[in-house]
Amino acid sequence: MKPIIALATLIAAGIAGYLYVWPAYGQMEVVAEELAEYDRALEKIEEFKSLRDTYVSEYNSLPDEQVRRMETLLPNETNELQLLMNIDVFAGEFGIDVTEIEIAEPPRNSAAAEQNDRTVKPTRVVVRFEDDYETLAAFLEGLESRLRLLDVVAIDIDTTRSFRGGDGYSYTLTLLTYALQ
Amino acid sequence: MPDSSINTSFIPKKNSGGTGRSVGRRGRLGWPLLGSFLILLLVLAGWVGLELYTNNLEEQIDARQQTLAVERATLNTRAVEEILRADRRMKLADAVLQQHIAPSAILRELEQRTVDGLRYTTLSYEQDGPRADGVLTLEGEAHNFATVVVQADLFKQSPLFSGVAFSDLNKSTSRVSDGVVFTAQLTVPADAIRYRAASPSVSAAAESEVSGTADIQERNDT
Repeated sequence: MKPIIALATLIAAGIAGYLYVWPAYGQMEVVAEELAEYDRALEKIEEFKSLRDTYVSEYNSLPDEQVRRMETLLPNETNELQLLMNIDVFAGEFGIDVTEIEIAEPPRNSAAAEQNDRTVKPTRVVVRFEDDYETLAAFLEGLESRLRLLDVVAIDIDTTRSFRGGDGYSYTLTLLTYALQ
Repeated sequence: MPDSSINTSFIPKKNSGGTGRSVGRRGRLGWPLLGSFLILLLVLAGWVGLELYTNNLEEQIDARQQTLAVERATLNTRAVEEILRADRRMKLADAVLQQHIAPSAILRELEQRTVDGLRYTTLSYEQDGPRADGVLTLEGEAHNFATVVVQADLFKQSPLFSGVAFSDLNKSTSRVSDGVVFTAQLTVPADAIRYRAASPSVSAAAESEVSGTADIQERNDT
């Protein structure tokens, strides 16, 4: 009888090991791996916080003036009305009386539209005015050297419609300016 | 002296050798049974131990989750986003600045390379974005064909123009001019009119906008 009991006990131990201990071990491994992942995530957060503090420190050390000028150079978005007003005012500094200024749609599939792989948003502005050639040249150079970047991508000069006693001509300038996408 | 052959009791005595055999059999069978019980006990103890350890790990996970939530809440992602935006802006501004064009160089070049006895009536310059080459189309009048030929040679010598082509050469029908009219088309490589290349002193200033040390012309732009 006793050998049978011993054998039955061994079999029961084996079945218990297979049915309970082995799955429990597997479950323990899964949970342990999950815990390790949390630990790694916390380590990453610590690294991130360290890096963040370094960069925040560097960023805060930048002069406000430089940050402001950078935002002027490439703003978050284009305030179109303000842009038109600024160009008009800027032209007025050269004595130019702008006859027409408008926002134009960028041509589809153009190089301008694809500039910088859609990382910046171009805005196209068309300016029309009449004045003498020297004023145009000065205005053009002024536009090129503005802090707010303006690419003059088209110039049309028509001398057939002269005015001011033949000294002035008609001009159309097309400008591209950019903002963050 | 008593006689050992005389029975002292009617109850027969058991042979002690039979009793010894019985105890030995029980001892040999007891150890395997004990061992098997021990193994079963160990298996059950292992199971309980694993369950307890797993529960402990799960409690640790709960604690980590709470810590993680607290850490996330204190990450200040707004500052990080601002820094990332500033970093992106600096890189893009540099890229846009690299592509910045100064077509006033075309006007200066025309002023220097236009012969006497020739005038332009219309000028049309178009560039499909700052990366693309530009096309300059000029319509004008000249005293004679020879003047146009000299002008074409001057354009070909210019480092700013390429692909010089004159067309529509005709005698002028204008009442005020008895010369010839022409149309010239020139290609302007975008790199030839880059702001930096065209105006090194100013472009250096513009470049330093990124580093914030220059004093470039600044306006109240948006």
